[in-house]
Amino acid sequence: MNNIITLSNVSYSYNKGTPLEKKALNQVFLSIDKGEFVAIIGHTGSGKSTLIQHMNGLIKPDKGSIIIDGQDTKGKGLKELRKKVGIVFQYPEHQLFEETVYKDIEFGLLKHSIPKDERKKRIKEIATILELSDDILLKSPYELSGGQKRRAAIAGILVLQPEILVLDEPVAGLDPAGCKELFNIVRQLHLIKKITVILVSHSMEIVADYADRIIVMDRGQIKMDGLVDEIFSREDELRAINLSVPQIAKLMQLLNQLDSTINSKIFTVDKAYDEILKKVKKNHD
Amino acid sequence: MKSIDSLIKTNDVSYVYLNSINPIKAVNKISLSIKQGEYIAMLGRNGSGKSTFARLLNALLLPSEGEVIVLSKNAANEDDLWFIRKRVGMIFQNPDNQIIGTTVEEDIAFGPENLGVIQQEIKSRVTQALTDVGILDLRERAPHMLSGGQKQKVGIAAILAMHPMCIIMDESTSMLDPLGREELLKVVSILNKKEKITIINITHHMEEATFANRVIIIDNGKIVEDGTPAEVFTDVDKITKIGLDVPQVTLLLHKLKKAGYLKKVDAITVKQAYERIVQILE
Repeated sequence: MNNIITLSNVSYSYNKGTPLEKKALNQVFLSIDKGEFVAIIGHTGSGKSTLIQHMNGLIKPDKGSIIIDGQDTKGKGLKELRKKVGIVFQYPEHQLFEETVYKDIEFGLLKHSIPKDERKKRIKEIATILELSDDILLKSPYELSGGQKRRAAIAGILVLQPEILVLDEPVAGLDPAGCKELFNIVRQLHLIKKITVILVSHSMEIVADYADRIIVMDRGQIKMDGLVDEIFSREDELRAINLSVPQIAKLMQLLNQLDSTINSKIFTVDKAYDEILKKVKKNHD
Repeated sequence: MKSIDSLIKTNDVSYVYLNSINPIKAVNKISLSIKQGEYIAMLGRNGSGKSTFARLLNALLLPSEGEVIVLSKNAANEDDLWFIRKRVGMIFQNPDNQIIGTTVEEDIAFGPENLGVIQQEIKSRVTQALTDVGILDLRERAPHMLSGGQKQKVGIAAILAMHPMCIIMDESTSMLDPLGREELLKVVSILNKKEKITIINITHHMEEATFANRVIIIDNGKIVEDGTPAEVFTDVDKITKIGLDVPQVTLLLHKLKKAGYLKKVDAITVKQAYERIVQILE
């Protein structure tokens, strides 16, 4: 019904037919609804990047099919598809190349033959959301700070107004404040513009703070798929595939072993605070 | 502190980048003393000057003002450059930018070869360095075929082969996955404990600071905090104001303190936080 991404029985191998053949995805089934905020976690080599590159047809499956908003990625209309699905790769600022930030953001719009007035309007809107001032827009991308460069690169994707935004480790190398700024913007877009967000991240704290649903990848397959609190309460299974849970999750599990009335399915600082306070007040009564 | 136990000392050191229209003072009069065997985590926002400062410590950059002294040798003295770089090694963020050999052992031999170490000695140093970081089995592999974490271990081994006294890691874990990061930090911890090699880890990951015995925060080219992890992270308001984070459990204790349930915030690990919370639960 509200389904926007459907993978049916998708398999993909690199270096097919050579001794180095490696199966990166193995019979993956996945369905994501419009407006979801999904995190994909898994250690290096688990298939996360291969999976997201399938979502805008950069990679086409060896077997199975991928339907994005009714469109098969193997069919015609790749250009339309790529407008619909914006992928922000790791270190996107390495792809900045134009003379000015403005021109860089405009590049995709030109490729899609968007008229000048509309281009101007969209760039202005995105620049405001991403806090890129007029002054910054006229600078060369090389004059910007790390955080500004990252936002400039993301602006180039958002300006195409994607319905699905895929972020691959978007805050690697950013400091904590820059990281928070960026995620608050993503959350805004998600809540206000109802963009479907797919986030690949190694940071369990970020996943706990922002995502609703977690998909756990391991050796090319989906190992777990569920709501954040359900997935993080399966620490032993995550550990077995070299993943961890947020600090707070570990703490609450220890407290739960001490006193089983303490809820262990808590992963954020605010909720842990409420739970502990509740318990303290009860004990003091 | 007696000057004899300081490995690196900076006196009012500043660094100005002149290559832009507006000169930027990235490091502003930092005075600091680092002892042999310390494990330091250096934190700060993007653009705070921490990487510039680190590059001053092994004379990759030379001070605009002030001086950097490594084992009583002045970094500004050209004749002492090799002396300093041999003792203070540096490993960077992107492992692909620092690998030059076509095999792992060749890459590691590069440093000692340049230092004029004799062939037989190079061989034993390479073997020792690979053993120390636990990648002896990778010695004949091509570096570009390795994972990010393995590449960074090659980087560490390459420094070890030069028999350093200090290793500076400039965001060397930021491109690694959690497992790769954990393994690299484990290797570094062992080198610090067993070989007494001084470690300076520049990082954005606050949880990495918990491995260190000293945390230094740099903001706007100056040192704004310098102490044990527990001391530094206690002042949650100040850290947040700088634009940095504290570990999740520290933030939790901070909230409990604000609400009057704790006297001080002195936990950065899950175990420490657990003990404090058990106390208030009684």
